[in-house]
Amino acid sequence: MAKKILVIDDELPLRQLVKLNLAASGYEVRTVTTGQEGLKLAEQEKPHLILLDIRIPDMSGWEVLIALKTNRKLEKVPVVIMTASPPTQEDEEIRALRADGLLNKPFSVEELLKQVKTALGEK
Amino acid sequence: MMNLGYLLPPLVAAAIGVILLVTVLVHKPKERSHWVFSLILITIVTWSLITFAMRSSPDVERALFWDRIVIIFVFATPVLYYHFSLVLISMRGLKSLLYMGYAFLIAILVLRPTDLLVQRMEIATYGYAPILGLAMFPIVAFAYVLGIMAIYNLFRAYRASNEGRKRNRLLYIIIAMLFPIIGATFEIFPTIYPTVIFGNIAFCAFTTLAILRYNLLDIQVIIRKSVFYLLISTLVAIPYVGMLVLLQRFLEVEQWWWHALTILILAIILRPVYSWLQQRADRVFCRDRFDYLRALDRFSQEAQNITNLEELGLRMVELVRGALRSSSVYLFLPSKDEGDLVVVSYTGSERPSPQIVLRKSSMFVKWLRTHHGVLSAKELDVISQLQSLPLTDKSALEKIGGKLYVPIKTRDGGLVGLLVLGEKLSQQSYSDEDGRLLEALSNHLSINLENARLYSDVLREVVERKQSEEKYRGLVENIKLGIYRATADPQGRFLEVNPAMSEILGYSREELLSMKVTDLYVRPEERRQLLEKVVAQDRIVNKRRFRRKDGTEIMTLATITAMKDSHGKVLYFDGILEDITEQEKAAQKERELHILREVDRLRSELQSNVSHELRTPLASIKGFTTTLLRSDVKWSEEERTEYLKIIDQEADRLAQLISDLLDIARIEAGALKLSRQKYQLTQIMESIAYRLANLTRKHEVKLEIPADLPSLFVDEMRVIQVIANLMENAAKFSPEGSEITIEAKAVENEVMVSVIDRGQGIAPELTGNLFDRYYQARRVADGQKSGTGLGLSICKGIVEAHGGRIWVESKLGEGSKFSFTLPTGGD
Repeated sequence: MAKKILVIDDELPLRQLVKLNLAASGYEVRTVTTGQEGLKLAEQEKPHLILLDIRIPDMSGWEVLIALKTNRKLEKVPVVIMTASPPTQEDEEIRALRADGLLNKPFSVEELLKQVKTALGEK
Repeated sequence: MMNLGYLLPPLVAAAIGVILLVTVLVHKPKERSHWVFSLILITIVTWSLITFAMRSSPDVERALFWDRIVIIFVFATPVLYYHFSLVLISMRGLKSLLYMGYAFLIAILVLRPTDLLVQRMEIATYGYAPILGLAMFPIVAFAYVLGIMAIYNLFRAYRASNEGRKRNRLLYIIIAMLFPIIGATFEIFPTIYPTVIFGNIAFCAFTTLAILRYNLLDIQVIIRKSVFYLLISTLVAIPYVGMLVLLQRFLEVEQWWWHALTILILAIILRPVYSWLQQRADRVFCRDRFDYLRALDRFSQEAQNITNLEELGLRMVELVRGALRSSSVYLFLPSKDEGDLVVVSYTGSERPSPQIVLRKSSMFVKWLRTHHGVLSAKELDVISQLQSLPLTDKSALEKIGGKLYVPIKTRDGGLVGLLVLGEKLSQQSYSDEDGRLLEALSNHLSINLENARLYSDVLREVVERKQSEEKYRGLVENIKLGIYRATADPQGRFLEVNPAMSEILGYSREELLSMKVTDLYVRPEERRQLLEKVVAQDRIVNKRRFRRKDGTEIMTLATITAMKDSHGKVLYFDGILEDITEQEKAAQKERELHILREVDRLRSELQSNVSHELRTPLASIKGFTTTLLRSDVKWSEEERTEYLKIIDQEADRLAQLISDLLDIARIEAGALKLSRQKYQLTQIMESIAYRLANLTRKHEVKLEIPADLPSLFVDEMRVIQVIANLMENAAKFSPEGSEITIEAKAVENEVMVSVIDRGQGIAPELTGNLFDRYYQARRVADGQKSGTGLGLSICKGIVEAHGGRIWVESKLGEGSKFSFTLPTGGD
């Protein structure tokens, strides 16, 4: 059965990009644009992996990350952060604690697939 | 037949009935008991009058006619007695019997003309004797039942009551009712002289007694007064008649003016006698009240001169004890600190005042605070809220052995004291009359008490103020705050200054007093403005630069108060002045530092924003490029075209971003070059119609541009940039399908263009920063695609480069209106 991946990003082209590439590699992909929607869908669908953009409209990606990692049902779900911002000291600390992977924008499809596989423990 | 002993009793009964009735009615009856009692009296009066008519009838026929009428009233009395007894015991009896009674009256009314009730009249030795019909016997029996039940009701209430006055009152009514019932018994037998009329007289007499002695209907004062006036009229009538008789006998004159002369002489002679009589009568009939009034009068005259609370208290308890003949009286007043009630004065008690304290928070004091009137020791046992009094309260009350508690209250209901009265010397219980007197007295006392309290408060305050004045003088001398008084004219002269003023300003006291206030101002012209403000506002806080004697400038903060006379004319200013030069400097430094930090923060935020925004389209470009380069997936032709289109769009976006950043850099450097020409706004709008349609595909766009709009002198490309940017924002921040209006109108030598959306609006605290260079639009509206945050500041730069202005009006939830002006002309 195809593994489910949830993508949280507000940029349409990027969502498209991630979705079609992961789908082509045999994953089932759901996309949302806001943190609230993402948290809701994560609870419902129990994805195997979450790809999370840091700059999303309703809340900071870091807040979403903390919410995911403090939710007993979701704490085991690996999260890969996607960000276009140069990381700050604070970000580093949070990431070190919580995230399971990092994709700096711009990234190539290769990098994307590699991160996804690593996070899913497929390699 | 014309026997006085036979004819007179009904008339006497009627007369007494009428007098009682008038007394009750004059008293303006309000309660049900008054009404029922009046009804009884009316019945008795009518009964008596008809009986008189019957007894004075010329023949048997006439007597029979009257007798058949009188029986209605005869039988109405037991029904009314029963009703009266029910009312007196608050209707807690057999009500059905009452309804039966009234039904019974109707039955009598129907049977009245037949001979079933009164068969015929016979002539007996004493007068007319009615021979009763067959139906009469059950009716009489029922009447007895009613009468006896009425007495039974009252008797039950008598036994249940433990209040002496009420018991006596009930006893008198029971006795009063017995008389007509016994009297009526003799009426049944035609051979015996009819006695029921005497019964009625006795009823009236006993109810009168009950009224007088036991306050039955609370009308005894009126009866007392009536008796008094009767006495006085008799005392006047006797000498009047006497004089007339004498005049007639000895002078044999009967002209009218003799009457007038007699009245005149009598009036002159009897005037002092009359007032003496009135006093006597008052004493005899209203003795308690009289004594009390005299004592109260004396007390209030003295109380005005007593300002010492203790002395006033002592007088007060003596007065109460004397007026009511109590064995002991205590006065409780709230203590100064806690407000608990403590004994301030007492009298009559042999032992020294015990330390009795009634706590402010106790149930008992709370009860007193919320209830009006006097509280007796008996009531204390009955009132349910006071049943659960804590032991401390109970033992305190027992120690005093109070029989009557009189709260002293101010007019607005505040509890200012408590009088506690011990037993009466006569060992009798306190009457309602006593209670009322005490209530009146306590009202009076509350005023005197408040006066004395206020006086002692004022006294204490004066002493305290004197002490603090000493301290204050030292404070004014040593303090670093300048204190001054100055005239209110445009130049201003100091009337008084404290040493700190000399220190702050560098001039000696004498120098200051001789110079103009404006001489000290760095900008003397500001004085007039200051004057106006102070006069208008009475008190202002004002920052001002002063020049010291050594020429240095200082910053001062002054609180200035205008002192006015009763007509509102300003007499002078009083001010407190502080040298805040150092604080100002520190605050200025703090502000500059804050601005620097803010600029730094915004710069780094911009850098991060710019970098993020540049990376975002790059991410798409790189992503889709590598997608196309994937060797493991074979993309279809359509897919490949689509990805290439996205790459193309994102490249455009990147280019736009770069050009925006360049614009900003130009604007920041003041290097924005405009190639201005003459254009019509409609022309410009047409040239961008396609682009606008693309931007606002999901919105309704309305153009409101008048045809006669003057032509503009602008850089077309730049104006397009502004309009497109505003339209793009409008589309971004308002719901799909909503209306966006572009409106233009000529204002003086400019054209004002507005873009109006029906979006969510902008919070007022955000509109101020909206056009700032580094302001991130993202903060304005979450959940929308963000831009670089540069659009609006570029718009501002462009509009300002044209010599115009740009601004926003917005209401949360209603939408925003962005407007800018452009110059006209170019001819």
